[in-house]
Amino acid sequence: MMLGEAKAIELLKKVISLTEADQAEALVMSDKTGLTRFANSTIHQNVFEKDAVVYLRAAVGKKIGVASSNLLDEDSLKKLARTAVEIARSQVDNPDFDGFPASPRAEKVHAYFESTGECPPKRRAENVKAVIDAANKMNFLAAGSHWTASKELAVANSAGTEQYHKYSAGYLNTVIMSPTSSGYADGSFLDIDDFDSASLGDEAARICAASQDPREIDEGAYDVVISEAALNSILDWLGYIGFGADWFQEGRSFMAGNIDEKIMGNNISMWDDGFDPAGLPLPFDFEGVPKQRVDLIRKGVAKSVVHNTVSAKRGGVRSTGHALPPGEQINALPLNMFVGTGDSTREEMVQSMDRGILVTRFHYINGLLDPKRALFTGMTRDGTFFVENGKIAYPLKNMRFTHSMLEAFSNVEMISRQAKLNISTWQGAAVVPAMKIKGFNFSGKTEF
Amino acid sequence: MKNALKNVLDAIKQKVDYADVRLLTSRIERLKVKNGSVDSISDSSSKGFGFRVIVDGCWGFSSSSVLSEEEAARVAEEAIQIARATRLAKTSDVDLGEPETAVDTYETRIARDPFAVPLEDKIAVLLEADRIMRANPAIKTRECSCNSFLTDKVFLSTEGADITQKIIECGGGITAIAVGDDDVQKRSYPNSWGDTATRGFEFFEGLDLAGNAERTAEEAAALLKAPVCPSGETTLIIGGSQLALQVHESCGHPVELDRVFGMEASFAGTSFLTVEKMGNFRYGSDKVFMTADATCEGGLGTFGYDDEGVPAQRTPIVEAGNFVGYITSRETASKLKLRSNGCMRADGWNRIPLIRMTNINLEPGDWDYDELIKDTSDGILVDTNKSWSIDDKRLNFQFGTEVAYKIKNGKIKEMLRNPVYSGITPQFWGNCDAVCSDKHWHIWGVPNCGKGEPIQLAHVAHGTSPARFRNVRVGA
Repeated sequence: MMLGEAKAIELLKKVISLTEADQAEALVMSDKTGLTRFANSTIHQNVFEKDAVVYLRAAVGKKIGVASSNLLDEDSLKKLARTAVEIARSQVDNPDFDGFPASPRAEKVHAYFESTGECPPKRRAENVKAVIDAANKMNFLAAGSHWTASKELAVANSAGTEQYHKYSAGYLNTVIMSPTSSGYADGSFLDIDDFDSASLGDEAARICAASQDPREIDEGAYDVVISEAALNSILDWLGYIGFGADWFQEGRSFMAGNIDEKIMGNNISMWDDGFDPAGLPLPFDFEGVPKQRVDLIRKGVAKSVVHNTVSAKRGGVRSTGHALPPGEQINALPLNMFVGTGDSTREEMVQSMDRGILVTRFHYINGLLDPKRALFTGMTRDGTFFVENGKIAYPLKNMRFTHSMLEAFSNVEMISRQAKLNISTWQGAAVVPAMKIKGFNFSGKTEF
Repeated sequence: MKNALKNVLDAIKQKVDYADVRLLTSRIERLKVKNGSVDSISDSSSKGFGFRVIVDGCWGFSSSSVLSEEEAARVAEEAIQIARATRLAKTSDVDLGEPETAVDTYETRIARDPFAVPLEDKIAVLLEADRIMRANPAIKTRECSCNSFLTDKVFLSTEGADITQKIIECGGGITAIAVGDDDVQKRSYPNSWGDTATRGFEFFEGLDLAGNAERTAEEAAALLKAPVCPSGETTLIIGGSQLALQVHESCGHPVELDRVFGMEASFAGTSFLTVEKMGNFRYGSDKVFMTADATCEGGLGTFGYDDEGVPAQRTPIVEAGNFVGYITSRETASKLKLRSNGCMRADGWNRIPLIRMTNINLEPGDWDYDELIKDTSDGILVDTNKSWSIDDKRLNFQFGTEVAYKIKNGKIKEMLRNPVYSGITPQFWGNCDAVCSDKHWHIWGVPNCGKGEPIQLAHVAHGTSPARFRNVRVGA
């Protein structure tokens, strides 16, 4: 359900006024999402939901309690206020709590398009139909999902902070399958009027056609070209294990002990920017602190991690505006990541390889093997190709990689000049290019 | 509200082939102590309802948290409109098979309501475990948790089903993280994501977190100095908690019939266990018996009825190594001319049910654990999951575990760090030559099984006892 700025702030002020806490912070996340999933070239799930959840953090001295509810009537809000205070009173002091932050209003960023926010199910079904038609033309089967959403985030606290942001977002992915192969394509958007699902269907169908009857090759180190989607799935894990303050401060992150040290190649820069309209803008965090642009890796050098107010206090720095919602297991994460682009195209990267592998997509990456080395494993899927003498020679059965990402990002030879927006179904997005990486270790293979 | 939903179901009966509605209230309390202070206590509540309809053979679903008959009528109509939009891309009509008409109530049996236990008592247990781990200077991060879940749900359908369930779950765990110059090692108890059950606070008390804190910290510290687990092909004994995840990834997911039919193809993937293999495929050795059992007392995948109103059941999946059955929904089961074995569950009122694991168990064998070790001349013992990855048909897997030990001449020898093993599912289970007895069998709760878009987290479980596997590839 959409509240609008005035109603959202009024609701939060009311919740704060109901508490007997010394200080309070209220957050509301509202959501209206329609989702259409398809498989075997037919729609098998078509769903719609709307919800609004209020989180209340109540502070009694340095003791903090958190309660949340999606029941917004007067009695339920009073109960929420009581519960948060009761929890706070049973707590012990949090020495890193310095009060809820008094933040200035964050600069507004336009991120809402009614075409997406109010997208009817029929339009999603038409977009899906276009993908299925692309599969049907080749006698393949299409599967995938397509969602459109409008969302609101508002934060207020007893120190005077008031923030409100509304945005729309949407996404479609598809796997088109033949009896011996599959091909993948996806697209993210803020405005559905700029989105062309038919071209995604054509791309996935083309990859599916090209990857029929795959062959097997030996395990070992190969040069690889990885697509934007493949890099995005690596970046998800890199952000989780490396760029948040918690793991950094506990010495578990590959960034720990390495600030201002060279840990990747000169051509690698990664940063977080909640205001860049090329991403999915989010101008403040879940504590209402305006987002700062944070350089994570600059020209291969580890520069910084992201903070909320608690981790910032521990680290003797200021919050960078990267708090997660109350109750999350981690204090802060980058949700608006960018990877610096280069001057190549994906085609030029393939042409530059004597012998290598082109990866459309990775599956089930895990980054917990050795976080200090950023040792990751995962599988390829939906279109893996062997490249010889600058040309795609033949499709490959899927392979497992096990490789240090610090080593991989130290061996990037080419980066695409175009970057692609990837919106996650949760909060956040990343804008990433494709890359050519030298000597990427494939440690295993599968049967298809 | 239940009466209002009944009224709306009656009102739309003529417009739909089928409709059901779930009214759900949930409460989750999470406590976490980290490094000597209470890192977070949260209490979240959610309430809402969702209508699922079939119109002209197509599905539609809509949901809302606004609890009124007027809103219910609007949401039901919205679900009908969505189903009509679905007709644009339809190849066949949904067939649910025989009607499910249960009228019943179900409630988790507990000794002590976890929500009635004062927060101070729970915090005291966690702080005591933290204090004990703090005594070890190598431990840089300590985490202790206690979580409680309450779900009240009502299921009504146009076929006449009327089911009310109250499910309570409780659990927790501890983790010690040791940080060296260039290495980080972790030990968890009782498992890397704790342990949770459909039981009351008595289950959390029985975990004895404080009593296991010192050993957990010592093992994490010792791992920093342990040699790296050697690579090569060897005999592997897998402890119960790691085997639970092995069962989860390499048996539980591939027997989900919606995956087999391609309904999760674009996200989680499909399955190597295609329908022609049922009753006709060697999944493992003759030591391997697996069941899907939603009726196990205390299992985290235990309930009375699934979210289609189908009663909880015990179903064979693998018998003496032969693949014999799937976990199903009404729609997928009817495609195989079967009746659903009751595995459809949704993560909340605003999500559509999917086929989810219940308690997918590796049935106990007849080996005593000490005898199994004695019987192993050369091998490696691994336990407690650290990393997991498997391909999109569930064949090639790689798991890392928190700890390993060398086994030599029938004895457990030195500790090893960073163990990783990999394999191909049917070959791996085909090399299972021993499963420990029911004396060593435990149902491990897995409270974070992800599936579907948007992602839905299900509470599932796996009963396992340690087992031995020959010719396993160890090392990344």
